[in-house]
Amino acid sequence: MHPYAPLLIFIGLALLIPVAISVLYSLVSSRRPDPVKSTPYESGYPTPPIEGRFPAKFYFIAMLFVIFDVEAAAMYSWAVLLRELGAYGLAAMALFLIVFILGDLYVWKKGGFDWT
Amino acid sequence: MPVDGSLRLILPEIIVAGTGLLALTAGLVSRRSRLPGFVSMLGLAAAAYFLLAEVAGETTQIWSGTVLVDGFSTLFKAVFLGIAALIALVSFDYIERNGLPAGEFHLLVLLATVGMMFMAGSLNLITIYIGLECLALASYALTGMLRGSAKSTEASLKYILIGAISSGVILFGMSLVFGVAGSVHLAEINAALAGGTPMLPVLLAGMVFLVAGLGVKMAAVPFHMWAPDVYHGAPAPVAAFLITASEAAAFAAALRIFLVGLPAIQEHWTTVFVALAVITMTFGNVTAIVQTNMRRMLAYSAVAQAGYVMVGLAVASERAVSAMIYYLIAYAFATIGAFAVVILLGRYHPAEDIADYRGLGRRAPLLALTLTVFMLSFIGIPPTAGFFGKFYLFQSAVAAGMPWLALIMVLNSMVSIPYYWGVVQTMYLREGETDAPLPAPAGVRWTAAIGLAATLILGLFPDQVVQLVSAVQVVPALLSGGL
Repeated sequence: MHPYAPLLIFIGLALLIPVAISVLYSLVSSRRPDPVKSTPYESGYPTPPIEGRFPAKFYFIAMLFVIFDVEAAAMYSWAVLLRELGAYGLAAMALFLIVFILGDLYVWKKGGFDWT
Repeated sequence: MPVDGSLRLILPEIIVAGTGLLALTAGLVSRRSRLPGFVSMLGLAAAAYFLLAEVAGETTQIWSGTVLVDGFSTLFKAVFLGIAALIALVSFDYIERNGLPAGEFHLLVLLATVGMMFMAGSLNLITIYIGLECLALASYALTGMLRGSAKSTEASLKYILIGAISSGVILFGMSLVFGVAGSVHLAEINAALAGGTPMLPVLLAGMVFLVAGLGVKMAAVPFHMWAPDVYHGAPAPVAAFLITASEAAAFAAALRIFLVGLPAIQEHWTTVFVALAVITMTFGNVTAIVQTNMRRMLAYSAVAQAGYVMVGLAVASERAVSAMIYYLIAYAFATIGAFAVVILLGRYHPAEDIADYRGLGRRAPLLALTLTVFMLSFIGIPPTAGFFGKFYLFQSAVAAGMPWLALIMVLNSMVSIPYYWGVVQTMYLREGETDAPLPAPAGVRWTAAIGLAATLILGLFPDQVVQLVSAVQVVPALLSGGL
């Protein structure tokens, strides 16, 4: 086999899978659209035309989500190696959490979780 | 990375970062806007104590060469801590008056300080870059802190855009150097290039990117476009912080990168820095003459001063490096002192025009006198620190066989006389609309007094400081005998 053959197979698969999924989806799915479903991203927040001012709250929540996401990712990797990392890992994680919780308290106090 | 004795060597940085968190907490729990400032100053004092008592005098690399502690880094760290403390002192009243969030302000200043400390305290390109980003991200937020002011927001946006591009440019330059030398550690890069310079065009491209990216942080012409707007629009204490500390950190990083990592292509970067120094000082001085706004004038003056400091990089001798550090220290004290007066005046005249300084000689005689001394120091007239700093740089240029560069410096200093002296004339010779005395808050008075004392002491008794700065080696002793 040519050394580049696996690469070709990989590219072929990479193209095939999304195409297959799209085709399958259009064949199998049922369509009953309603107003909520047809909003972009189905996130409950309507996307206004991009002119003039628009509320920044949505982006703010998205930003908070990223921060919590990073925290969760750090916790997972620490939890998996909990025993191997031992006391040092625990101390490092505690330090990270102190900084993180302080940030949480800051956001809370500043009304960052007040989403009404 | 287990906990061992090496943690002690970056204790000052840890204390500064921890103080930032404490200052933020203090800002949350207390309604008094002064508390975070006091917390910040106490923390900086503790960090300075540990730096001078525990870390000073040590020369060692820790954590696989990612952090270096030596005389050069300790001196720069001490300068950064001092500047941050002065900024905290001068901003008490400013924060209260403009309703800035005190906790956040001090947290960001302290985080920027931590970034700068790592920029000066490493020979590893990655650590230097992370330090730079830490400084840059905090500075963007600090610049936009006056949320009601369109100028501040505009300055912040411009700074973010240009800063982000410059960070990318620096990173690209680093990657090219890494590609040629095969290491991100400056001493190893130097060793790899010692036997000859393979792929010279790529290496030169990397060097040019590094010069351009760091040039943005130094506000060197032609990378200075952001500087006047940012120094004008940012909160005044932040502008003083950026002009002094941020610029000094960029010079510290440049000294390390070029003198430790790239001496193999010294002839190339010397040419670039000579050209940049001449263009920067000339452009800064000529543009400053036509400014009518005090802060814009100081901004262009900062550009010009960066040009003078860059003479040291262009000469790149041991004496030139000492002269640069001396000049940066002298310039920092005079600038922060001058900004103390600008902050006071800005309280009554938000436009901050030079015309607003009319009659200041009568309204606040002591502060007018201190501002006069700072202007003399900027021009370089004895017995101020600025005179000795320029003389030192001048001497190093002549000793390195570049008398014409020294001559251009002198000519530029003469060009700068009208605009610096113009402020003094306005204060004393032109009648103000009112003779009402200007009461100065304690923080402003103390900052101006410290600036004045330092400017005069550095000018009258330079010996001690000269000994201090000439003992500093950019290339740490542990590396000169090979790795």
